[in-house]
Amino acid sequence: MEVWEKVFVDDAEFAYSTHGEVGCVICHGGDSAAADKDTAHAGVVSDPSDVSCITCHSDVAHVNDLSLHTNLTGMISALEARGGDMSEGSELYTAFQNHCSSCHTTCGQCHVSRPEESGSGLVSGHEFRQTPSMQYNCIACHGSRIGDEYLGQNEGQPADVHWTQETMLCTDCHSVALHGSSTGATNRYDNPAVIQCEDCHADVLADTSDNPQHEQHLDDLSCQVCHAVAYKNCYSCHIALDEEGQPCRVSEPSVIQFEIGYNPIQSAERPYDFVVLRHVPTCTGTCDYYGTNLLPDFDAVSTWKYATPHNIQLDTPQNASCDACHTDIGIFLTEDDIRPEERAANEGVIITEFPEPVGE
Amino acid sequence: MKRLALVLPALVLFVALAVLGCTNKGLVGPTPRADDTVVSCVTCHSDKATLQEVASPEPEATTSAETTGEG
Repeated sequence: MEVWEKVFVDDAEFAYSTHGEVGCVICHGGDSAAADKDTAHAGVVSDPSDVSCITCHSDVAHVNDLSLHTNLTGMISALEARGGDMSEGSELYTAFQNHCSSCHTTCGQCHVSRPEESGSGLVSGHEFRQTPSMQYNCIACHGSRIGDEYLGQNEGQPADVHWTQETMLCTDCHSVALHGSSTGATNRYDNPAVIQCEDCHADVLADTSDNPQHEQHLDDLSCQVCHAVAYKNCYSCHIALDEEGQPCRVSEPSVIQFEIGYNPIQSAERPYDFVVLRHVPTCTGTCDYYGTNLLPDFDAVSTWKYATPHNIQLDTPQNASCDACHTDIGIFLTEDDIRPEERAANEGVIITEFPEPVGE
Repeated sequence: MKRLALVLPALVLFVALAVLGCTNKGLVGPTPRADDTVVSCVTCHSDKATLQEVASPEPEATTSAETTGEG
């Protein structure tokens, strides 16, 4: 996208829209009476979301302060759970500021422009879109794992049935929950408003009589155990500053795998014993550039995390028959799948008892 | 007489509405227009040629070339 395109208001009628009536300088600052560009743009704030939106949309904006998209609590809580010192000025805090803090979004970066992390630029003139663009907003950040899975861009893996059959957009499932919950959350599943499969597929719960697999496993397996296919896993991310002082990260190539393990976040909403797990890029040496042992309690949190791959299928290799799953040890997370330095962290999710073959 | 009693109030009501419609400009009017401030900003930002002409080079990317792997 050319730099001029990023600020091109392709529909002059915007000036007469509700937001246009407010006036550009009210939100963005600057000097509208100036004749030259530099004077006109002195003091301009390109993304004034933090102070402007709340003026009229306080109901949403206040809740949004508690959204993981805004406050990055998901990342911060994971680091703190591993014993990380996130107090201002600490080595880990510096690392976080250099590498992680830019990976958040604002009202405007979902509803007006592309996220800063993906290069910014207005999505559709200066139109305020109640529903963010799947392509330019959601996938702009969530592309390498979720986007690739959903659209079938992982080699050899099909696209999600919700996309291929219904062309559902991200916001068809992920709506109000994206603005956070009133109680705050420490991870993406820690929000009562987060959608679950059964919110739409209630019929599956209501009557299992015509499906012996549902009858047997509805309570102990998450839906993805039977209906997801292999997905992307990332390993060994190391962060540092390069010779010019720019933040960089180095990680191994991602791996397409499918691993079933024990549920690390079992709760009333997610009571399953077995779930699909995804390896996150974190490793014991992720922050070593900034200091030694910055995550002293690394083993407190598994590196194989509860996952909901977005490549759902009605028929999958593992649900073809009972024994397609019961006899395929390769789809279960075992000690051999885990790097020695991460075994202690994943003790709670490694499968230790395998299902018996049932001869079907 | 009865017919006059019906027609007269209707006539009075019609005249009242007509007068109100012609004199109360607050009820109907043009859509409010944006002020000059808005127009002046949008004038430039909706002019492709102007934007192309005055565009400054984009700041260099802050992501290091040494970055590898997926984010």
